[in-house]
Amino acid sequence: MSTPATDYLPPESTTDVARMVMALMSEVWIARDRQIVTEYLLETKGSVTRAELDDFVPTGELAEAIAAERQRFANLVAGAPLAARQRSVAQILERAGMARPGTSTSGS
Amino acid sequence: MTFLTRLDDGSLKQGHAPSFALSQRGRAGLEILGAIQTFSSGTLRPVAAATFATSPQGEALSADHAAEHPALSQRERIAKARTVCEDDPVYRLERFFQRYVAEENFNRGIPAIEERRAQFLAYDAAMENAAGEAGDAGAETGSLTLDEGLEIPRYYARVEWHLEPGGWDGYDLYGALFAFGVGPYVFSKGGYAAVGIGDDIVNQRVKTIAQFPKDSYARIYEPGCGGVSTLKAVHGRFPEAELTGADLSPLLLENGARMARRFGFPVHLKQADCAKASGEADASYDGVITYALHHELPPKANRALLAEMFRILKPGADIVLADPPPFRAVSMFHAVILDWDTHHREEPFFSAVLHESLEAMLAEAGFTQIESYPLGQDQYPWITRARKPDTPSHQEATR
Repeated sequence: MSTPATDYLPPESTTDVARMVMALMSEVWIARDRQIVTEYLLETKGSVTRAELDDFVPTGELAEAIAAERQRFANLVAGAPLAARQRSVAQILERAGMARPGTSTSGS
Repeated sequence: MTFLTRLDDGSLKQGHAPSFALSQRGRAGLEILGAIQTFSSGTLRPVAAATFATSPQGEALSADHAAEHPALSQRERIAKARTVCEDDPVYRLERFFQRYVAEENFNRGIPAIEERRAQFLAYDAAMENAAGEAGDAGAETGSLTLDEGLEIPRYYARVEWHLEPGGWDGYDLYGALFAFGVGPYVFSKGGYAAVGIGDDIVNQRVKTIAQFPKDSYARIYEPGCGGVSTLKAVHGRFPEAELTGADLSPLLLENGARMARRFGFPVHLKQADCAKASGEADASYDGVITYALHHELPPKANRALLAEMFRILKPGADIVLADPPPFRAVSMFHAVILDWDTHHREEPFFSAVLHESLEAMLAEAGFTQIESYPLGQDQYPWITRARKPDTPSHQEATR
């Protein structure tokens, strides 16, 4: 009698597992975006309702700040495999949106 | 075919200004797709391209691709190059993200617009009223002619273009989805299919219209117009021109008619299979424009379409085509990237057309003064333009 397989997913499932990770990434970002909007409305208005959050469309500096944070988030999560290969201090800081003081961000 | 990527632009007719937007969840869910696509094409793809270019096999294939007399056929080269690319996990990851975003544009986008259906319909009605109130009395108006008996070609009916569920007519709010969701939050970032990173197809369309060589045109025709995105750009450059567009999709044409009213320019939209019969008179147009159409037609249909355009153009008239570049015009690595769309983004004729030459097809149809060249990065859009000879004898001599 053979032992039941404990590798429940075949290798072909890797892509579907990646889809699950990406779906989770999207959900985390949606929550993060909502958190940023909530903090903004609380700071500027003092209170916020669910409907105001649902209908709020960022503009101007807030939209730019969210876009930058969103791209940094995407780069970090989707770029995690790249981070395993590109591990210089400059590259690590660049991915975090920072520059190494006194050096180029493109060096190794 | 055309997508709307920006609806609330400054050229909307002034009047009441109702507004519409996705919910925070809908917006953020699509915005993150735009960011993933930007990372995929802007960061991962250059890494994969460099890996390919510096590998011995990639180097050899690239040299053969650029050779005047290559040893391998174009199809053989691309197949071998694809194998080299697929050995690179970074390439595989980049392609996975491309596919994932293409799927999620609809998986996320359809619920995002559906949850706002009532608000969108109210907005749409308000905009329609505003367009009616702002219309000039006596001004020329457009028209919409649908043909319920039109025989839809099989190559078109069975395809869910770009992974769009149900095809172009599969969901009544696809127009709103592109205008308020996928367009501004994903497509406008570029970096998908043949569109370069950071490129916006709205601006590319304007540059394409500028390729018409004359200063004015009385009548311009667009086969496969979809909505009116390209015709709107044509109107911007040639405001006096009478515009006609044709397409197989009734939904796209209906949306186009509404948008033309809203933008305040007359256009005649007709449902027709232009690869069979446009229904237009011989020698009745001064210009023909296409935008991102030919890669969505089988080569045989392209030849028939160009012959039909030759028939309806006046002697001396111009034709301007904008499509992805042929494989021969791009790097070996980018040929693999373009070829990928055929199998992974529901573009069944993409590679077949990129292997061919629109220049040769135009010559077969009888056009002369044929030239082709790129307008933007990654050779996209690729322009092919020509002229119908201005004398019958010249036409015969060129056949």
